[in-house]
Amino acid sequence: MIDWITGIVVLLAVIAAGVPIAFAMTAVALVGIIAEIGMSPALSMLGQVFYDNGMSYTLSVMPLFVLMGNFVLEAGLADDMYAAANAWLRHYRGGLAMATIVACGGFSSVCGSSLATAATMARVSMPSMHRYGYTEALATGSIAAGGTLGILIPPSIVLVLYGVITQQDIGKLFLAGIIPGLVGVLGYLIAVRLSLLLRPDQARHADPLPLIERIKATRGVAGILALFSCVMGGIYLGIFTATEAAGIGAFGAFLIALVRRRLSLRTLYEVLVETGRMTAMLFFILFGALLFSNFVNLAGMPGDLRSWITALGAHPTAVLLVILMIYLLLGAVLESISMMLLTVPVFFPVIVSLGVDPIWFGIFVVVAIEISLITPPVGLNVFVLKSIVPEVPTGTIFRGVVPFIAMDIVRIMLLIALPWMALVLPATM
Amino acid sequence: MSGLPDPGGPHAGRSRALRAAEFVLGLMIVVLLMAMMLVTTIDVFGRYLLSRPLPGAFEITEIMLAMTIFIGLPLVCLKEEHVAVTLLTERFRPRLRNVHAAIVSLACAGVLLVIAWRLVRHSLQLASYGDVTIFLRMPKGPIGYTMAGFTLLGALALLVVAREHIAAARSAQTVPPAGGIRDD
Amino acid sequence: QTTLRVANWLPPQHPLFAEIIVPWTKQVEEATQGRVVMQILDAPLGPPPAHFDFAVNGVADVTFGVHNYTPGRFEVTELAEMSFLCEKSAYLSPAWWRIHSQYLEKLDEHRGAKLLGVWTHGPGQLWTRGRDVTSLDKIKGAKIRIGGGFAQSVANALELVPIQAPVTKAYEILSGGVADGIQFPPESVTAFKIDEVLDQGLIVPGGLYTASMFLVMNQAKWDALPKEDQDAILSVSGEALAKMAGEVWDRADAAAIALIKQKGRITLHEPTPGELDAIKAAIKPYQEQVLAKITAKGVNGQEVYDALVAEIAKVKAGN
Ligand code: NA
Ligand code: NA
Repeated sequence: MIDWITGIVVLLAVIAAGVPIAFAMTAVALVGIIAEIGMSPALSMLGQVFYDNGMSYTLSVMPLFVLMGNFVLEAGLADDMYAAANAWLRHYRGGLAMATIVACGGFSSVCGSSLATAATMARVSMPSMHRYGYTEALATGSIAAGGTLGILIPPSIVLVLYGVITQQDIGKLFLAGIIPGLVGVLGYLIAVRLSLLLRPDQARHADPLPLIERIKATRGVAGILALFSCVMGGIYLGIFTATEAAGIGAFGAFLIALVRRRLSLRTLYEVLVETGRMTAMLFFILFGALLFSNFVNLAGMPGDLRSWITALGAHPTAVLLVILMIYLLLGAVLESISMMLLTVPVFFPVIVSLGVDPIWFGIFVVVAIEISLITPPVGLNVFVLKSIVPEVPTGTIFRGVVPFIAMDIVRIMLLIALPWMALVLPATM
Repeated sequence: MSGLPDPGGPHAGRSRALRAAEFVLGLMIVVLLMAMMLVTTIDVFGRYLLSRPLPGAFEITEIMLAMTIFIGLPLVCLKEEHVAVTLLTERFRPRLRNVHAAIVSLACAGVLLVIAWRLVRHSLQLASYGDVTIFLRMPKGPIGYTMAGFTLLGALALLVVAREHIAAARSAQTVPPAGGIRDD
Repeated sequence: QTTLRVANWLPPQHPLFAEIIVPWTKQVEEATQGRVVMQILDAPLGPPPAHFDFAVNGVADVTFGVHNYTPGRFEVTELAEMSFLCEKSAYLSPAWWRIHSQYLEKLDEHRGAKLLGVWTHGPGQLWTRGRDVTSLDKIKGAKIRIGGGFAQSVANALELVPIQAPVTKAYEILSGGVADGIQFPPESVTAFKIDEVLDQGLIVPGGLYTASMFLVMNQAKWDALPKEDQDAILSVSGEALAKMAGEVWDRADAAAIALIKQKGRITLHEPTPGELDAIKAAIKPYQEQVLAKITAKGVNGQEVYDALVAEIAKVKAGN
């Protein structure tokens, strides 16, 4: 027991010292495994983990969903999405912020990553919120929070990884994310209004657009809608597997970008190489995390955790609340994907033995991870925004996300109280 | 992520040969990812329109994924895009930050060397069994040697980066924190 | 006292793990009077094909697996996977262990590890959804999910279009129509719940194929055990293990067939003598390929095949 606790503490220390997470996990795990099973077996496991997981068909969805998101971005679909949401919402109190949230939700339906969603929407919606006198806190807060929906509303890279680690159906996980994602949109809209109730001077009204303009703007969502229907519809109807959906989705986004003449040879090169780099970066974290989970497995952590929980005689809800607390704490300092890769292998067996639905738990984990993206001190969505609007102090952004974090907590409680939110759609598949 | 400011800093003065190498690696990724996308699409369309899936699409995809990951590695290393927590280091003065980045790069290069070595050993073992892929019967050893080769390139890339940081520390140049913000 | 780490890659309730491996570990502990303790790891250390290497390299001390998960590594084991051999795994498995020890172990395909058992699952059959299985012409061109090993040769022989997908995706690809069918023993049909989406089963006497499996131990760990413990372990391994495994698979298959019949969703079709002859003729060249491959390795393929058939008859007769 002492071994794996030491391992985790050392890992956190090495990460805090600024060593890239992928290398920190690999190195600490290797030393730990050497301590558990000896030098030669540990070294041979190292080679095997990097080889076997590099050659994984199921994991090929990762680069393809990243690619799809990058093509969608290049095709300018985010601008259209925002224009449409804006046309209908701009004249309400806080309308531009609400339009941002809705557009984030829409863009999430074709982009698997939260950071890409936040980065894209920041470029698209910041200027008009500025123009209408929205405070920086409200403007950046709504983008940073809205962006987190990227990993909950399908497609989602994080859900894919969860499905791969826990051997759950990725299609079902995607469907399970839809309703909690919509509830998330709703919650964030309420958060905007609440924040305006508390401080009404944060935004100016914009004039309503005539109906004809609104309808014109709405046509812009056709591209996103078509792509989303193709990918999710294909999975839902069983025309192709979730793995294949990624390839089809990337190809569809590629075609849209091509038809809209947004791709030169140069941008095509850049989009693809960037996807490749992101893939490499993600997989090296994944390899490190898999090695680390082998270490804690060999050090007997799953058994220890199980016996603690049985000793406590804990009710599933109590266990879930404890796990949520752990996620909030880890989420303060860890990056989202590494956090999931690190924790799911630990919690999953325990959770399943308590009779919690594995698909539901996937959604629970993703919502918990979403929160970590906007909590200080390490909130990646906040950092992304900061890199796009460097003039806004980081503290202001963190202040701006507070009402949204409150809604996140409400949402996760709702999810615990009403598990059907996640389970009703996959049940129809 | 496209649109993030280019790091510049100590990477600014890279030689033409290094840039050319980067470009070639990028080109390989371009081909691999386009092929991956098309293989899946052709496989699915072939299955429904011609009732003939692309034979071996599954395995081709696996191998292309592996190649994308390992060819991407040296590029990530050159750009210092590995996710790191910079809470502590961003408080350092530029000079200390460069020293820190150089040390971390060297340590990570060491880790990559060990990985490359073990990939070779594992691939030798697979080759000694005569392991092949299920459908296309491609030998598994050479795939692993390729992975190891690019891992080695990754280690070299980190050595280049470490040298750049050492040079920058000497001239006390300002640099953005090592390890950028990356996507999830 | 020696503790052996046992690696598992299956869900804990799977019959291969729960009813074969776990009971075997208990038998080992009993037979060695507690001198050898088996510690089953909580979570998998890697994908299924990695497990043979785990034993060779000492990552785990005891592992089990399926021979055809690592193509090219085990070739003569395809002998036991051939069509029409496996009426019941309880006959084939012990015979397979005996023949393997007598003729094939010397080829040393399990080099680097101590081989403690080989066995097979029950007769593998062809299951489809919306595809008539009453003649070869009608099956031809059906998109079928297949595994590795001899099952692949069967697919080629019957001119099926192979769909490659992880076994865990069976339900997904069949329910949506990505594949028209699958090769599975009956046990897997119900275990993966695909009996809900299938409607035809071609039940060939002796099966179209089966899959050969192994149990191995790290060689150094084995060599370090005192002779007395080695003997104790051997007494519950090898043929005894094969017999137990065979019975478990047969029970699971029988229960699955009963469930399928009770649900009545799937029409089970036994080929007429004419149909069976056509199937046999189509598969024959592929059988000969396997025997030629064995001959090329230095053991007469036909001879060992005949010996296996004779041994199966012997086990069936009660010895
Ligand atoms: Na998404
Ligand atoms: Na955080």
